[in-house]
Amino acid sequence: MTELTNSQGLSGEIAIVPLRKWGRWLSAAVILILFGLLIFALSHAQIKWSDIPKFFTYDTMIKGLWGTALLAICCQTLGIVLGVIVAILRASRNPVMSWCAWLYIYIFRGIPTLLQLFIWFNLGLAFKTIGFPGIFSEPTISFMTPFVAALLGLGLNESAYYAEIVRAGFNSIDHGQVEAAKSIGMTPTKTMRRVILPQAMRVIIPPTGNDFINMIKATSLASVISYHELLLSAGNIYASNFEIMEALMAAALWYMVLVSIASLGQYYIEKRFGSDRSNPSSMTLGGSMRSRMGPGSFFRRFGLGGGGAPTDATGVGHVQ
Amino acid sequence: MSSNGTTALVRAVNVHKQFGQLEVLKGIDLEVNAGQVVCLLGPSGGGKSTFLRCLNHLERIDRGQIWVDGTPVGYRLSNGKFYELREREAAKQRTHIGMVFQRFNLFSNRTALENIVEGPIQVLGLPRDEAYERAQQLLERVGLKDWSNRYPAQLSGGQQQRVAIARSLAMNPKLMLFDEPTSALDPELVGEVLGVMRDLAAEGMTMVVVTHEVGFAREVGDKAVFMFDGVIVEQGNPAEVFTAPQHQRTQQFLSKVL
Repeated sequence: MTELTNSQGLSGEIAIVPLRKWGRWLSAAVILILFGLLIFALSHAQIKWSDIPKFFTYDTMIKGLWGTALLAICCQTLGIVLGVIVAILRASRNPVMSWCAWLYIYIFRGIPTLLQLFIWFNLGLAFKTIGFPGIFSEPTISFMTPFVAALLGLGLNESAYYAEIVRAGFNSIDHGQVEAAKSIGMTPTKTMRRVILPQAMRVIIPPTGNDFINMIKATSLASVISYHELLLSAGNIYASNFEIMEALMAAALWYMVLVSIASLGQYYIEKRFGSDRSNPSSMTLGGSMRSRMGPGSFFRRFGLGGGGAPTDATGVGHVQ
Repeated sequence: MSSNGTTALVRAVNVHKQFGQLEVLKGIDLEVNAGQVVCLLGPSGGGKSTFLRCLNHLERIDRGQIWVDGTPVGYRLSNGKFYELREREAAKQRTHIGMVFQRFNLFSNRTALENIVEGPIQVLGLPRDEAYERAQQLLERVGLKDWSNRYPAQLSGGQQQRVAIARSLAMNPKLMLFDEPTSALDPELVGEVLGVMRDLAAEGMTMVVVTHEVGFAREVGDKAVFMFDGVIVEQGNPAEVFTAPQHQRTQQFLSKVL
């Protein structure tokens, strides 16, 4: 009361004191201490740091790098193609097709990826030859190379997950869009191609990027069936010189590089396809990303490496 | 089916429709002559929209017949039986029956102009230039000449509905179906959509309109049809039906909405 009657009163200028954010200073201090301890620990670790860059560019490592990249791209492509087909069958009004698609997803999603790799790789134990009656026939052993086994194992597994992503995309579309397409005489095929798929893309694309990032890392499983990729390269290196940690870290660095490239690609693809035209505020002057996220957003979104990059369109993300 | 020599463009005979146990349509008989505007009125849940959706086979009827322009809708008559059409054959029939929805249902990833050319290019196979030129004319006709490159989300409800009408008209329909075209609109936007529909009626378009706009039905309609609980209880000249309804249900309904 006394202050109000003070000469300055309500009419005068009263200074505003911002809330003191002690928590930030405190947390920064704690993190700094922990970080210092980590550096201290690493500097005393029995790791020959200077060997890591050397292993990083070993021939076997570079061969493994291409092996990883090739396998990830092939598996993801197979997964997308099969996944879209399975999703379309799943949405089919033909109950037989829909049920088969459900069963496919159920099986390939239900069995651990590593186990699927083993099954494909050892298929020759169960079937001596592989082929199609009257068209071709080949001994399974020569057909089922590590690459083919890894491609089938990872690709089919991915297709089951991808089918669910595509299905979520289909489900995100208002049924009114389909009715409008019908009302102007579009056939079901044309409705799928012209109305449903293009609109579902917005929901499908962000998780696709996540899946690809997961796929890059999942290819390391193929090392157990002796496919030459990064982890196998690391194994080759430490088998000869016993520098296990150094070789593993060199491989880990390559994975980080690949994942960073993929994250960058994901960012631009989302920018291109992800614009939300049903939301007027994101439509003004081109590009929803700009208005939604502002400058520096790439690092905000992917700063931690990418595996769990946020998807703003759907909740279909999954862990493999 | 012009056996008795009428010019009915739409002829519904004893149409029944059930959703599970719920009987939505219990024997609807209705004729719409070419150039007529028929308004379907009545309380929600009375079956108006369902019946309208049967007219272009968005819903399959369980019993009865629907003929549009001398062709059974959704079926092929052969050896005295109705054989259900494949979805792509039904799609072909729908090209000549336009439909306007309560919630507009414009393709949200396409601009106003792209919405309109979609059917002509993809379904009718019109050359692009011609389709775009006609679409621009149609936009002008519904008063949206300068809005062609806007996406649906950038348009008001009334504008979206007018684009939706233009999209239907682009298919050169013989018949236009309107499913509560103004129910999702702010009151001040209703007028612009009704205005377009009024012009359309004046040009001689055959229209079946499910609506709650009694004023529109009275002014533009050639026939008012009252549906309650899946049956038509009363139909006739709007001027007469609105001023002197015969059926008790119609009287009750009108006393509430007028």
